[in-house]
Amino acid sequence: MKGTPIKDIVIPDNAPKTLLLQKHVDYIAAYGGKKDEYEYSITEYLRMSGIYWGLTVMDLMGHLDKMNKNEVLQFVQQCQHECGGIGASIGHDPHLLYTLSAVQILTLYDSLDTINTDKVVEYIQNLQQDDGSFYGDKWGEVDTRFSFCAVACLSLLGRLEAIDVDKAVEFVLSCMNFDGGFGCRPGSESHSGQIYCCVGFLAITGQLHHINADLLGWWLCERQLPSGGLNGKLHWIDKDKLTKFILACQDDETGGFADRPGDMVDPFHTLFGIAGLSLLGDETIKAVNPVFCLPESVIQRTGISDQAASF
Amino acid sequence: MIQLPCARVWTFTLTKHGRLKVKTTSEQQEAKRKEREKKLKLYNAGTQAAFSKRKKGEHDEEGLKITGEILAVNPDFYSLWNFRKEIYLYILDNRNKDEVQKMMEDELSFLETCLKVNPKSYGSWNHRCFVMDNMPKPDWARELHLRFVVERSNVNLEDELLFTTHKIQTNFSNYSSWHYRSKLLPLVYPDHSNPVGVQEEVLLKEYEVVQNAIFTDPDDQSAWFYHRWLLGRGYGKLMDIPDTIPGWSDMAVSVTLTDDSDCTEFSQGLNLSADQTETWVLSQEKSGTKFTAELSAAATSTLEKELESITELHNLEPENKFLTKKT
Repeated sequence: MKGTPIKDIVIPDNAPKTLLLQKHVDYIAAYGGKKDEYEYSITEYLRMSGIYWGLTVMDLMGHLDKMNKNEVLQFVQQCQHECGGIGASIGHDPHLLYTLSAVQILTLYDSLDTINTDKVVEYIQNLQQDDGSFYGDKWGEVDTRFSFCAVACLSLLGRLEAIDVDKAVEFVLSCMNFDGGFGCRPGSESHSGQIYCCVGFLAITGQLHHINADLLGWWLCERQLPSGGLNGKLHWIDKDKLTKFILACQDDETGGFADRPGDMVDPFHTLFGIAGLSLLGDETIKAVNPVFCLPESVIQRTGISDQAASF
Repeated sequence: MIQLPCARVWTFTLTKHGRLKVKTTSEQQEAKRKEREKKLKLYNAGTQAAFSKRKKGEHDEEGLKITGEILAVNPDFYSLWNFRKEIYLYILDNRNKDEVQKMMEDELSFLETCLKVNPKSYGSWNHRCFVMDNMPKPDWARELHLRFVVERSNVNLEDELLFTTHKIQTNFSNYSSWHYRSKLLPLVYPDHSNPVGVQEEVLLKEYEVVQNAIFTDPDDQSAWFYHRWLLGRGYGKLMDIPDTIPGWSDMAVSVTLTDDSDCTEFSQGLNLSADQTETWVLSQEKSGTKFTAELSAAATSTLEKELESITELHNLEPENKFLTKKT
């Protein structure tokens, strides 16, 4: 937007122009082996999400078998607390963010019986507030991201009825803004992250008709920069430019994707680079479900229906 | 200033956002590796010490010191902030008020240094909310103009509105201020006949404010979005313009029209069903149409002026993407 300087970049001529799939497979497969590195250690507070990103991107690239399933399942099991919630790593506190990552991992592996899912449901139930919102954990931060975590988790567990869905919807809609977007709480400014969560939330709860798709699409499209970066509504944005931008974010030495060409790569941007290319129609990658950010085949297996296809 | 609520920014700091990859020699790499190895040892030792103290239920200054050293470099380590909260809750129950106040003031300065390093950290902002909520004598004035404050203390909303006016006058292209204004107007000047409405005379003045902004910078989208939002306040019936009215030859602002058939109280004014057009038409018909008949004289005159200005702007800037000519 105007008024705040927008950092756009010029894509260097030598930036990758083709998808380096094998490099990314190698990058992710090697990532878990860097346990005695500083960078790995300081990201322990979100390990559960890191594992989810890595596993999902490997599955999308058709190489889930390269990951150590037993080790992962054992790890997830050890992260569940008495209250039912799941922490980012062993000994770390339970939180909705990592509870969702854990449920996503177990859905991917079709191994939900690894943890006590009844306790997970109970944990989520107890975090819902009278106004329909959700705490992220017992300390009481409220954010529409947590509303998404709650319904995504329960939907994957087939237990959406365990919470007051109407109240939850009411709260999320109260966070809608003058630009058609959503913020983290009523009155907060629109932000792409919260928009993703709220649109996902409404897709899962079957309430997408509350969204003014054209207005929101407009807002999002205003965010595409001349280089092609950033995301918008797919039939409005410049697909070719966006594809070119994502491909340029690859590191042709190490594999993996960065947030922008020339930066350091990480598993998070690697998943979203690959998932983005999948949504843009790359047929060498499996189809991704944009609501749950899991392979479409996994979502089909669970039998969940969401409104994502019609949005 | 307004754009600093507790936890507004969506980034995973873990990810290496904006970290440029630099090519290095093997010697440099070796030196780096050694340095990291040392850092790793210290970091892991600190983490273990903190977790072990927590397990033993030791709620003391040493715990604050150990967790503080780790959080200063890694403010997203949420479990350690939680440990700090437990320490402070224990102290709150077991020491005198003055001592607690002093310790919590220190905590706020510590948080300020953390936020300087990492202004987007959810963990730091969240912990700041906890401290402000729990300290014996919180100094809310110091936290002023953080969104968080507006939620919890009785800041005068009219003052806040004046503040946004001032911000907008200095710089029209101020997305945050327009956003805040759209939240404040219905609170300060509610239209009791419409849950998302704004009193008419205020609304009419507001058109002038936003028109000034649009004329100053016709390509700035924040003012256009706000303009569109304004058109959705108040005149519920007016939004029901039939698709075709014979003889219309007017300017259209390419923003959204609303229809309340599918609206909740919250999404009203933002909702649109799939088959509706995306244009707001300002008619030049003086009377006799559905459009003007339902407006007060003041509103009609304002909207007529609005149409004049929009037409004028279109003549000046025929290429402006927010404006289209309806024929």
